[in-house]
Amino acid sequence: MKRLLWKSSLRHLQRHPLQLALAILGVALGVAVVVGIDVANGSALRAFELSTDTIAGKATHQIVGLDGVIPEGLYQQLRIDLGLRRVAPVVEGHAKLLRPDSPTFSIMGIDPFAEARFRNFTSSGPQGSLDLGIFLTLPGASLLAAEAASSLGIAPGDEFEIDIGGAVRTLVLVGHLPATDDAQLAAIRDLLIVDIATAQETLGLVGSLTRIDLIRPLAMTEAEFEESVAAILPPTTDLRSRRARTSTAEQMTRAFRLNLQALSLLALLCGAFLIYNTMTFAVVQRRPLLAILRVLGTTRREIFVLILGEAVLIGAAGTILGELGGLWLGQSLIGRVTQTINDLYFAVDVREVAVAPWTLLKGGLLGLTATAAAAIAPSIEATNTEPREALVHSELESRVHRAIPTLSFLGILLLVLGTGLIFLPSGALWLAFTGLFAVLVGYALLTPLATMALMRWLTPFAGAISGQLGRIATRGVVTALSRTGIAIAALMMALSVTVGVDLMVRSFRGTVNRWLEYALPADLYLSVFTAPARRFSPGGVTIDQATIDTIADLDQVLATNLLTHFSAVVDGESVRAVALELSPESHGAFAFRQGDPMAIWRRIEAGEAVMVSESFAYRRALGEGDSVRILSPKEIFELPIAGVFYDYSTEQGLLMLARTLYQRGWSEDGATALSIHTAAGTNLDELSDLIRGRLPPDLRVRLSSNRQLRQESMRIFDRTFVITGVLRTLAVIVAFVGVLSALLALQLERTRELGVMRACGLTPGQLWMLVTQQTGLLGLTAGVLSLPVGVSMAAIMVYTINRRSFGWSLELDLFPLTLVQAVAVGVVAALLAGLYPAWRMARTRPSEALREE
Amino acid sequence: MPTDLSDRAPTIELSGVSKSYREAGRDHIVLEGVDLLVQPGELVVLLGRSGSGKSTLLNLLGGLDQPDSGSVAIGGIEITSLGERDRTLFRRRNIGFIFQFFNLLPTLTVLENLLLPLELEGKGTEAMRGPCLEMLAAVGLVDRADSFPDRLSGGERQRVAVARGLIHQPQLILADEPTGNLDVGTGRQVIDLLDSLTRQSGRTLLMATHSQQVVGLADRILTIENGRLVELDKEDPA
Repeated sequence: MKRLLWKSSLRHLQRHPLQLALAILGVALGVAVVVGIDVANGSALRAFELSTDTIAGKATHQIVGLDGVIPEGLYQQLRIDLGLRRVAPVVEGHAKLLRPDSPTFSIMGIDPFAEARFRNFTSSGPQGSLDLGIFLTLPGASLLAAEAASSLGIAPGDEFEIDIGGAVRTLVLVGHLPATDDAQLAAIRDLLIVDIATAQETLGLVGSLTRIDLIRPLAMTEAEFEESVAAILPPTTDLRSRRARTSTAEQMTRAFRLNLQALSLLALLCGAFLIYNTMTFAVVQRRPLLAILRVLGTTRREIFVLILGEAVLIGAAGTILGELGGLWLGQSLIGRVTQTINDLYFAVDVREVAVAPWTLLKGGLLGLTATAAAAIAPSIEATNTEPREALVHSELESRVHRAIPTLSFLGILLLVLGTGLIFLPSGALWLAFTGLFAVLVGYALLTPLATMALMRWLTPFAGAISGQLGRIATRGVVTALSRTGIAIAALMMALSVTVGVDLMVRSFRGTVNRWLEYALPADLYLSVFTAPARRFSPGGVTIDQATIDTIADLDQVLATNLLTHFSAVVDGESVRAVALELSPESHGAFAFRQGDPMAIWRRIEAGEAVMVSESFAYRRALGEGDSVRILSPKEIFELPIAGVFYDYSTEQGLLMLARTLYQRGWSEDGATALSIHTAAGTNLDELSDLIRGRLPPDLRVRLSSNRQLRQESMRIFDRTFVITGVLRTLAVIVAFVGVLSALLALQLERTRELGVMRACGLTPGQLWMLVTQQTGLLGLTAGVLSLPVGVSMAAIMVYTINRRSFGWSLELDLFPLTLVQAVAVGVVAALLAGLYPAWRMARTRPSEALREE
Repeated sequence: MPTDLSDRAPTIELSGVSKSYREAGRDHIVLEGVDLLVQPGELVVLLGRSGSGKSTLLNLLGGLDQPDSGSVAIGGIEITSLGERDRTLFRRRNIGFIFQFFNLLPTLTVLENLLLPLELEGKGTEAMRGPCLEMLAAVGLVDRADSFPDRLSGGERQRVAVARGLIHQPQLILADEPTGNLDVGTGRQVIDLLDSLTRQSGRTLLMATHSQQVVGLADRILTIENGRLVELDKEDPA
């Protein structure tokens, strides 16, 4: 490439520093969002992987209970019947210290004798000064990492209290966990090790294990080993290889992460539009210059490389900044992502930012590819500069006007294709996102046509308000369509993303709010104190029948409903299940998508059928009338689905059955939650105090009124969407940068035209008005056009993407405020962006503006 | 692809060249069956009113545009049969352009504007600094070598444009109204400069103008009337 061409190009960029900075900022923001989300997601998964790896040790396989537990006898069977020596029983759960600042600990019960081949928790390393005799014989003996123990102020020999799913237990620290490297140190920081018997007792899992770790004997092949173990496994258990473990966590959070990634890609799409916008302006602005180069003998290829090279340079600068910004953003978002994963999926505590090289590579590739892709069209456009355009200036606009039918046709084609992809009968999420992106680009291609139509319609009004200046403003938008069209499309895209995401979140919130209105008909709700995601874990405490009876006997209590959360094995899969016994007053808590509710309830209560949540049915492609096979410790139930109910509490799906069935199959009597209907005029605070007085002293429960529970649910909902809000705000910033960049370039490019107007007698004030009116019009057009696009985007996200991600039916709510806000943001951003050019133009002497070079 | 001119062939050879443009749904004929032969070293002036087709003819000669029919040969090479890329390379080596509106690159200094055509030809810019400075000295602007075009007056800019049009020693120089944007005095200076530099080096110059002041210098005077090229009497061009 010729040095002087580059020099000329770089000087052009230097002479437009603000445009250059805005373009770099646009790419940087886009890349930062993608990298940030990836870092946050990756860190959470890496933390999970690290902790499971440390906890799993050298195990090649694990046996897990599909309903959360494994009968203890299986361990003996493996050792005796199969003669396996490298087998270790494990009982796991979660606990918090009874201190306000305590993190969630993984409590792990081990057999020190079986452990040595798997983990070094009970070895005596530099920090592991463990007396095995005390560990095995002292009731409540436990081990903590030295760092965790000292930060909590617990010294060896100290007693401390922990809360396990509502029950309070006392443990004694008898030693520290040894760590050989930083990775292990990080993984054991939140680990609490106890003897297996202590864990069984503490977690309420006497006679059960939660996991058995195995190391395949070298003499056996993987297939032989798996076959021999599988032969003695009860149907409620599953043998998993080491690889399958992390993929479970990945699958559970896949939709959540994919949605975040897609949102971050939308921000990048806005950034790409910004680049497209900037590069197109760079080409349009330099058309005469490019024509001179062509006259002097520069080939089309050289021009193409020059413009693309410029874009790549901008892209590279933006990408580097974006990568750095992304690392910072990722660090800030980790807390939000982890909170959501903890609320919805599994317990994970992220202390360190994990930056996979792939994350940075992906960010870099995306930034550069988006830039290059966005710059290809302008680069080709630049090569089409005819040398004689050095002499003829008016050709470009007429060419753009001639291209409108083709652009519009392509736009409609993309809209049809995108819609087709969305409605394709497939559950694939990526197809829906591809469709969404096609629809967005389709709308962008229709922008010039829509702008022309809108301006034609607005011209008489503008004329009536501002006379000739008003008409100049609207006509100016159309006559400079090659530039205004792009500016409007870029701003429209960014605004529509904010409209779409905002409407989606508000619709989601509205649906959940309406659901909570009927899903919480009782007055008071009592549940064992445990995180929602761990409510279905085995063990933990329940409220026993005697306590339930004493509560039911209270005068103010009209009726009680009992719910027991547990994990069930349904069609060979672990499923979140609830056993329920409801009073007729609470039947209204469930809305069925079809069927007669009375008939459905009759069948459920008779134990003849089950009901499942909508996401349960969607994920497994089941419907009313289909049967499910449920394994219980006592018998196998083959039951039809009587009804599918709307539920937004978990995307994993819920299966509900009558309490009588649960008592029969699982021989359990307790409940994990109670909802209470009270007599009219009952003081709920007084009743809560009365109930607390009747509870066993070591049972920690959450007692909330209907209102409190609804507020709490909405708080969790809002917390889940905080990250979406952050992404939306970033998209607005990208939008603002976009409009600033576009309008700045547009108005600065019109220096000569405005100079002519000044020469014709336009006062600086009138000029200021003209520029402001025109930028305001561009903002208004973009704002107005963003409404149908944003609403379409919201509809796609609400009806297709959310459904495919989570299996939920949501209702689209059109919030007028969101729509008004988008138009207002467009106009205000445009007006603000017009301030500098207007000020500059008004200050420029007409003679200066009219200078040719 | 042959892009070097033959010394013996006529510099310009047009044969039956026609060109029309479509405007408002109608064909507007600009040139119709034009034939022309210009020998090396001739200074030809093309007179005519605005819109008569002077610029169109120059564009065809420079390979900036293609005729509807007929052929254009420069130095024995038929450029109408060349592809777009080859036409560009041909122009790069053999033709110098001078425009009414100067068309200097605002992002390059005066010296760099001169170096650019040489660099495009693949000649080392460092080695070419000397010849460029000599050329600038010839047009009286060596002291402005490091200035950007926007710091120069109109006359100075056109002198730079003349220097740039000649620096790569093209066989054919096409000048489109080179004085059209200058006052009479400055215009005269530029014409004298152009005349002396082209005649010194024996190059062919075809200059489109409607200025009568150039007529005295011309070897031949042509005009376009109703799309046809007409040669005028040099002594009595009116």
